[in-house]
Amino acid sequence: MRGAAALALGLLLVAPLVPLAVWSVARGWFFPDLLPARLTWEAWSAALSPRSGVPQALALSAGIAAASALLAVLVGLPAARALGMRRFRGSGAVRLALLAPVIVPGIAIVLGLHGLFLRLGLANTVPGVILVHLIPTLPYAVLAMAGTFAGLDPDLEAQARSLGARPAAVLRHVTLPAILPGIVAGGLFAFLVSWAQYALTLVIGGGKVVTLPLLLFSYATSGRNDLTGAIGILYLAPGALALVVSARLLTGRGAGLATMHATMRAKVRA
Amino acid sequence: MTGLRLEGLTARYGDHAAVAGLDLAVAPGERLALLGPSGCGKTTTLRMIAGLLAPAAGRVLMDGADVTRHPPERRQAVLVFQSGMLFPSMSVEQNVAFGLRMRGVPRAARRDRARAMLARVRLDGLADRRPADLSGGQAQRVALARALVLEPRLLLLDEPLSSLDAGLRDEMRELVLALQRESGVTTIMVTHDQAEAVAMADRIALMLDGRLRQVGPPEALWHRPADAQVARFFGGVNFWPGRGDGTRFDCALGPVPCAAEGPGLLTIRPEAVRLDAAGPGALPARETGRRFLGAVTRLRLVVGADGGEVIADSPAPPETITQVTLPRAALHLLPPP
Repeated sequence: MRGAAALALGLLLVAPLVPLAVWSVARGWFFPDLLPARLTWEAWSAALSPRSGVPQALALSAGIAAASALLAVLVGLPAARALGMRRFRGSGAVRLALLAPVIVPGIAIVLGLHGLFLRLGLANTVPGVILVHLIPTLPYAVLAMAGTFAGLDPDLEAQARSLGARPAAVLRHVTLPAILPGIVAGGLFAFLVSWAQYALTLVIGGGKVVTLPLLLFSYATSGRNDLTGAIGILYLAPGALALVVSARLLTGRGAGLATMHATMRAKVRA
Repeated sequence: MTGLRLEGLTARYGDHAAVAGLDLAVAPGERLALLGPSGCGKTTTLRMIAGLLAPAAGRVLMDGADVTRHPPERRQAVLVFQSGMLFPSMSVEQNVAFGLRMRGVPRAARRDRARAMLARVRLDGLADRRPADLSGGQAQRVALARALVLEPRLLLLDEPLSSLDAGLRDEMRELVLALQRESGVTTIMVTHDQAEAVAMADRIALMLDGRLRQVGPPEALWHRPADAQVARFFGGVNFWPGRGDGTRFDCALGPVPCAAEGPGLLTIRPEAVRLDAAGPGALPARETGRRFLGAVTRLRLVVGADGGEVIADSPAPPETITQVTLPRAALHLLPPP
């Protein structure tokens, strides 16, 4: 029963990607042929050569997503702590306000923001794009981290203080290990959300900051199905990787990471 | 060994004073129980001693030195939480060694001391376990070992036994007492259970509504409560308002022979009421109900013409009861309500 469900889910997730994979190695694939006439790696070698702009876009996308995720985690940490550990007047409203960017379309905000970014000299720059990506990434990061903070007993930190730990030591030895799964989850979410941004990048980047989605879109609309297939698969890679990593680290109710950390240290010592 | 003094210690939550002007001195090496119902401010007081909560007013002094403004990590007053509060990402040994690590004790030395301490709480084999794999009693013992390995100036115990079931509770109580005697550490424990306080403490400080009501050895609070509320907290059930003239006390029971003088509330512990002897001062009584409580049977008796009620606990009550004796030495006069 569970095997059948897993199979169905796998088919549902993987099946739509099969034509993409076939396109990336096809040469002359016309209706009504079930498979292309010839298979070739041409599209892949084209996509991976610097002339296509794909390696640069891949690196830029990864850099922007990583920077945006890091910022989202750093900026979101205090908010996540407050939302997760305290019940205060208006905490429901704050939670809703944090979620608002998920509900309100980014394009609606970014057209207004564009003027501001122009004045600040942030339009058409990579830092500007990183900053604007905080709009959609921050809610995911905060909510993912608030969940682990909710499971952290404030007395655990009090206990560490009582045993002689200074605040910095408490953070390092007690708080961080306890919330690490949430930080990883929040960071991964933020990375993927940033990775998938199209409209925000287009408006604030002004076409000067060419990330992978922008490149993918331009190849897809120019009719290069083989290149689109190859780039599409490259575009999916971090998502699949993130899924595997988070599944391995976050199952076992957040204890997985700490246990892994400990067993690794034990091995190093032995 | 460290002495502790609290002067006018006050804690406020909003407008409500959770602890109001508490004055208390604890002698070096003493075991003091802060006893009271939940919400009386005893845990708040313990947190202020530990430095985890800043008092709104008042001072905390250790050996005469004011530590009110010291952060918790500088006080060496280690709080052991009710739930153990073990660090989940560390092994049992790492938990016990945590405080030593914070003090900069080298790895080998803290390992040896942690292992030795674990042996003293009889958990030798569990050093490499994770807290999640321990039972409640084991976790509590690890928490105790983690505090005692530091040889703290003050040991602060928050409800040390109340999360354990009855059998474990006796075992843990003996262990805590043995370790405390061995180390001689000044100990303050918070509990809502008067039996626990009586069994473990040299002195009890009873708190009600944020104020100290009576401080003294367990026997004093048990036999000579300061007022009816204190008496009720220790299981007092017999209270008769009236007036005494030095030889007898007039109340709902009729004239009761005793040395009480002036108006007040006469009380006697239920187990001190005698049902057998028809000695001098016996009062005619009629039984109206009995209930088996295990170690004793609780009897409700009507005494005197005015229908005054006496409640008596007896391990083996006679079949029929016709009289009760209230031994003079066991009678105690409380201030009028």
